Amino acid sequence: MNPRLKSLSIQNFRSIRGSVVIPLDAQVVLIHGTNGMGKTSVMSAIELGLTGSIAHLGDQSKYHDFLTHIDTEGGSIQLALEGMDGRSAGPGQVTISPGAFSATSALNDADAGFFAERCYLPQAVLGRLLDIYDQKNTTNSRLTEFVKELLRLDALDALVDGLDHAFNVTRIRKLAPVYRQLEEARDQIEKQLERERLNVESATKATTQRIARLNELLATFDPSTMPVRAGFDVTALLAWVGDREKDQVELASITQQNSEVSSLLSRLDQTAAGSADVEIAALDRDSAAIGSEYETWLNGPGAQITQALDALRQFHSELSPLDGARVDEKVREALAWCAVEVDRCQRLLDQHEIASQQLATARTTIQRATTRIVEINKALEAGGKDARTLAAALAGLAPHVEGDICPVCNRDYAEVDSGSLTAHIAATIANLTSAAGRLQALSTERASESERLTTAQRDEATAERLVQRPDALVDLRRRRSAIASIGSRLEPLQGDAVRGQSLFIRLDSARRAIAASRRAGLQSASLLPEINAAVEQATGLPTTRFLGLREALEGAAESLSGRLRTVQAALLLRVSVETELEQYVREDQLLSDRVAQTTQLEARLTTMKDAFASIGEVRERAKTIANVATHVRSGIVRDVFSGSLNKVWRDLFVRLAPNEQFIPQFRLPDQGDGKVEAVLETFHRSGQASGPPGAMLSQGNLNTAALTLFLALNLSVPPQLPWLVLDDPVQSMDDVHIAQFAALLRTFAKGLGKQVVIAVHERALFEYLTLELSPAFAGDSLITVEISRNFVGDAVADPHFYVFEDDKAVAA
Amino acid sequence: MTTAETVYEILTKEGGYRPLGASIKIGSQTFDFTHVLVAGERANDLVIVIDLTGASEDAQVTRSVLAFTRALDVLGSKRSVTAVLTSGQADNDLVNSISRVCRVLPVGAPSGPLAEDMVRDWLAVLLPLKSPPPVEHLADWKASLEKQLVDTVSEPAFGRFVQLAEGGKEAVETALAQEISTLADQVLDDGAAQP
Repeated sequence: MNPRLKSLSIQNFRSIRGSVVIPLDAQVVLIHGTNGMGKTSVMSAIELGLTGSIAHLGDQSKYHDFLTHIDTEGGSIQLALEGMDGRSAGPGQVTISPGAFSATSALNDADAGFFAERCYLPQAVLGRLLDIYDQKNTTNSRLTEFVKELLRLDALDALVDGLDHAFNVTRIRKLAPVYRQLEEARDQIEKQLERERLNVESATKATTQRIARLNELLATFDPSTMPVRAGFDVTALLAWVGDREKDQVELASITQQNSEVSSLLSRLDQTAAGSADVEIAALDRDSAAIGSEYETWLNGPGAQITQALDALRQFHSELSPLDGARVDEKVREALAWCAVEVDRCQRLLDQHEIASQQLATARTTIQRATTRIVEINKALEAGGKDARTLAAALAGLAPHVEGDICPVCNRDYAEVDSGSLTAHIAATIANLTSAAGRLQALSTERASESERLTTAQRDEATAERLVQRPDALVDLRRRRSAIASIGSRLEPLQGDAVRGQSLFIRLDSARRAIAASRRAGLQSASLLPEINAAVEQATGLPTTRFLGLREALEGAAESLSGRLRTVQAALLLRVSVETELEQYVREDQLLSDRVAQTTQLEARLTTMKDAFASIGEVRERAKTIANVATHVRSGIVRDVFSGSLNKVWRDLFVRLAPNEQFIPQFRLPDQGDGKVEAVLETFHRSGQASGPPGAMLSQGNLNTAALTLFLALNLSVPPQLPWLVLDDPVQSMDDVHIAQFAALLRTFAKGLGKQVVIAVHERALFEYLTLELSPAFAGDSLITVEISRNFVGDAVADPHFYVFEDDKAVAA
Repeated sequence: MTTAETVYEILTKEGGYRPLGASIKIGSQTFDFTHVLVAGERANDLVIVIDLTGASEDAQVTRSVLAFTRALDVLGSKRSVTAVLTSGQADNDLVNSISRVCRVLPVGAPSGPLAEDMVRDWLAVLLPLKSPPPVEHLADWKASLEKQLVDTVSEPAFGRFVQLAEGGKEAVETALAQEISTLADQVLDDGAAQP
């Protein structure tokens, strides 16, 4: 038994107030109501009952709140089904009230999705259908969904999508993070290896150079040795080269002999100065001559000099005692002191002269200034009254004098008989004024006089300091003349002093020479045996084989220094060879370490490269599978579109619009990767491709195209549910199309066995469809429902049931 | 073959229509049309084919169709009538006047190599709908995949991936990641083991 909608009962839902029951148990259910009566409410109620939601309102939140009829407190929907064979949990049950919504859907999720997508065409979706299915290049478009639903290719898609990572190394890294680690490890090892190889190269170069240098040294050391090659026995070579004890002993002995010879040579030089006695005699003679000359000098000029200097010592006690070796110097020193001292005395005497004069002048000035100041003070005391103030007061009184009557005492000045009072006052004022001027001048003078006094007193004090006391003055004068006299005695003796000094020095050195000669004579006798032994040891020859002692010693020194050079060179060479060998050992060790490290790294890199190769194979295989899977999918999708969907769509479209020249279809790109990237287009009936439907079809035919697309999609998928629920799909169709559409609906209902529920708003169309869809064979059924409102505004559903009646008019 | 004959052919052979002859008696009235056909078991269509010739007058054609449908109405017949106008060009007035009482298919006289297809398009609405071919054979992707991969991918590997694919994209990804990680881990572990 096919699934079938049985009945629907609605209470207070959307525009339906009150309660209506709509029977649905027929092959075709035709619902009529004028606009606003609740056709769409009935359709929504079916959808809600079946699926528990309203799909095309799904993206508008809170539509639940507006499902209840506006005048009522709450409503409900009950939808009964039959023939579900256990796929349904029971009747659909929806309870609504403002702010509350609960729905038990009649269908399971899969069936609910199928119904919403494939069986139910709300008015709102019809206008948008072409746009919905014309989403270019969107991966999860409705068309893709359709293809998936149609073909059940989920597994194939999973294969393609799952293996898609293999195409991109970045995504491989993301998918398997360890791959990135492996890459990093490989890069690191490659870098290390490169570095290590450079190291090996440089180490090899270093050892090669070292061996070359070693060979050079060995050739010098012993020309008969064979040059060594890499890997020679270092220990043996070191033992062979390293014995330097003998050399060191020899070196020490030669060094000692050498120093002996040098010392002998210098001692020989000291003593080798002709015959000693003759020399000493000559020296004695010279010394005696010089001695007598010096004696003469000492008694003559020498005595004079001593006297003069002794005299001088009275004045200059710090003068040092006379010394024969420095007579000249002493004399000059004494002369210099005399000159300075005479100068100093003279300067003090001169200062005394000047200061005495200044003192006299200052004292005169002081005396005069003091006297004058006393006078001025007396004069100022006499004119002590303030003459100027009195003059001003009298001048102020003058205007008040009238006639000769005194304004003060009221006496008549005429009585005195000496002119008028006014003239008297004026004369008095004039006297007073001139007295004031004099007093002013006096006080100015006193100021300057006292200033002069101060200056003179200061001068006096200064001069008093510089004036010598009389006894000091005498002493100073005597000292000056005495020193000057000693100086004049000493001056002519300067030449004698020079001569005396040179005599003394010559005498002294003569005496020294005699002493030295005597000492040298004593030394030379002990040298000879030592020289003989040293020369013999150094040269192996007796001293007698040489021209003299000096030559013998020089020969010995030469021989010794030759041997010294040889031994030193040999030692140096040994040390060099040893050093080179040590270096070589170190470098050789380093080289072998590096080589070992390199080998290890290379092995590891090879392992890694193998792993990458294996991973590469895995990727290759994944890519191959993915490519082929993509290809297969693309082929399947192409077949579906060109072989199935487009064909059905064309068939349906032509039925509704038989005279339309442009047919809509999906066009797939020629080279697709299996993704559904179909675009909508039209083609002319002649087969020629044309523009998109929006540009080529009239509005009515666009509507037709959408409607037929919906039907074609419904037909193309396996029919999970044999239902078609259409909400007023013919609003913009003309009569011809409606007639065609009626026939098409009949084909669906009667030819394909679909249960069709359709709502229409036009009365004539309703009646026409009633006729077209009326039962055509036994078992066929039709229910028409008219929805209207009664006088209180409650919805009323008026169902009619039609059954098949054999047509008598046309004998079939 | 005239267009009317083509219509007749298509309806009888593809649509399962039965011819009722050129004349049909409705009640007491007899109507003459080029062809009259009635649908088979599951439909109640009545098709009248009218050749518009030089002798046809629009008014007369209209009158005969209206009278025919009126007669059916009088008898309370529920049959829906389709008038197929063939040969001559149907005038707009004519189509409009008879489309009030029945479905009108003004087929005319298509010509050219596609003539028959065009006639069939016109009549499509009267013909049963052909169900689209089943898609199952298209969706047997495993077979075609295996056929194309037989030379390049070993059968166990292929089988494994197909099986994984049933588990969804994640299963395939995980397996691929696992395979790569195992190889990489092996080398990295070896490297870690060596100092």
